[in-house]
Amino acid sequence: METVASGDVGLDFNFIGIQLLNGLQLSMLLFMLAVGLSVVFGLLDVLNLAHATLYMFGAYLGYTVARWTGSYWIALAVAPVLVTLIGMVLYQTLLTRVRGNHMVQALVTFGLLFVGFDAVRIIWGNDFFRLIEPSLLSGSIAVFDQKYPIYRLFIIGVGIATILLLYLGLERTRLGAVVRAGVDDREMAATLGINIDRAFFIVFCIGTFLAGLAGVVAAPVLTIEPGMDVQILISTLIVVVIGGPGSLKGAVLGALIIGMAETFGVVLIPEFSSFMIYMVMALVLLLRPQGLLPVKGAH
Amino acid sequence: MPTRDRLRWPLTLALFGATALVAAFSGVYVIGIATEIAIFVIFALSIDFLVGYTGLVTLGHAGFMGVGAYASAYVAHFLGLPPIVAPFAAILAGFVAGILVGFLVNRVTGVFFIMVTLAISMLFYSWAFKARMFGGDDGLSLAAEVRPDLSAIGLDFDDPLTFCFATIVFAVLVFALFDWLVRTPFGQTLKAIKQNENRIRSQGCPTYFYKVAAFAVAGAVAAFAGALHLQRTEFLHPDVSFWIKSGEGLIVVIVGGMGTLVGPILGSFIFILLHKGIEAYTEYWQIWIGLVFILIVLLATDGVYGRLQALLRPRSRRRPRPDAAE
Repeated sequence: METVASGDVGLDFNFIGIQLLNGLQLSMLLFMLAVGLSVVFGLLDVLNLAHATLYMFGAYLGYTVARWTGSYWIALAVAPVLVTLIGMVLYQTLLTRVRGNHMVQALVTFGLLFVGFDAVRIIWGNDFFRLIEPSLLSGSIAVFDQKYPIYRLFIIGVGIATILLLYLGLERTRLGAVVRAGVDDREMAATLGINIDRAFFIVFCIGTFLAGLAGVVAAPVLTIEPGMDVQILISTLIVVVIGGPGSLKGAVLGALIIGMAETFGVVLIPEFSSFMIYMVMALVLLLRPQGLLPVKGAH
Repeated sequence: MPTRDRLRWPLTLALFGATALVAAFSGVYVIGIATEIAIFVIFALSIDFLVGYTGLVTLGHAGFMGVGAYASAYVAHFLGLPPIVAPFAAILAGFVAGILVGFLVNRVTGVFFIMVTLAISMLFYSWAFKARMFGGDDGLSLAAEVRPDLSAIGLDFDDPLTFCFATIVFAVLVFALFDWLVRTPFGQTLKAIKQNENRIRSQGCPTYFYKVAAFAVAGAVAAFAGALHLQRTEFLHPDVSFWIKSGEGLIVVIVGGMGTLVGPILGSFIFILLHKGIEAYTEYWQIWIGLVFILIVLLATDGVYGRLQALLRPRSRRRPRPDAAE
């Protein structure tokens, strides 16, 4: 993830402010990916490594839709839905077959990473693409005495909106109650007559939608290329591990820590920046192997 | 169980004997493939030791291969020590890395274990990718200086065929090492950990340390494979530790039949020959390996070797596999 150059590399207040925004922007992207992975795992016991492939498809499909229609906004609306459809097909054909066996799931979805990598190369070729941000969000505004791209603020906005919506959905709706019950004790919830499978499927779809959304939203600031999935998958997995699986708050906290660690690692200690997020993960594993904010009752 | 294993030595020796024979009467291209297979076998065997015998499904084992390649390049190229020292340095580095990584990743189990192993190997990759001293992502061309000079005992490692034979001998030796190791009390304990860790821990066994030890052994062997890989290619590149490499190793073990040692050997042959075969027709080779892998994982959990054994088992004793569900 590239960061916005800030001219003078002094540790003044404005500089830190800009880096905080950069870190926040990365955190929000990581959150949108990690929350799907994490909640789907906590709830369905499905570890979907191909989650990152869906994110990559989101970026590519967003690019294609924007090319055909000439509108970023249509791409933003359509591509995540297309990705969700792909996710539904995967779920019904493949993932339901391997429910309850973590190893087989991990391996099957790992195989999907290989398939996805070549699938985008076959469909879109080896070229790099870039999705152009909409004119409404292009340009920059003054923040902390410096020009800051509006689009990056938009990413932060989308992320915060996602967090709020998910929080409200989880705490205030019937589906949210079912989901919380399911994460806590799936068998007990099923015994009480709750249609757990349907709720799980909906959650899976939401997670997939968010992965596709993250793909489109990230596309203007990242390069769209084969392999972009695994680049972010590693950071996402670390977010899930340190946050504690199945937990919305864990995903938020984990994403903030990793996003900030990556961003500040690059500007403060460039030689060791690539180690930062692994160091954080190692530290959390040593001190709290169950994650920082694990869901009680889930394993 | 004992009847299951009767095939293992004849099959291994037959495979490698045939390979050596084919290599002896072929050109440089085929010799190169034979060498690649032998090195991959060493890598795959070390993965099987973790995955098939200890139950530690690792998705980051190529990291150790990277450690071996970079350690031997450091010793032979930068320290200027005799190249014969390099493989030993690689083994030592892999052993130490195995202990460190083992201590860390075994803090978690199951799926998290998979995630963390993947992340740790990518830590090494991202270091190597930026390490300017080693050429970063451009890699580093090393001349034959990384290959040991064994002319004193009449071996010329610069001759592709001699080097190929040597790697085949190494592969058979590594097979023998693991074949012995899994029968020792140490190996039996690892198998017990795979079957039911809680039970054996409650009997007072420090399973954590056993798992770390398994990592140290597997790390050392994979690092040795990395050193041989460097000697073969004479080119140091971060890709040796890339997640795809780890994935390929795991795929080979599972497709071949994990927990058998012979399976990964069969798997390595199938994998590399298929790779070369498909590569001749299309550059999209990973989609095929991905699909084949998914099918094998879903349909034949005991892999090619398991199927082979089932075919060879006398009819009267053929019965449903009790461990099919795993």
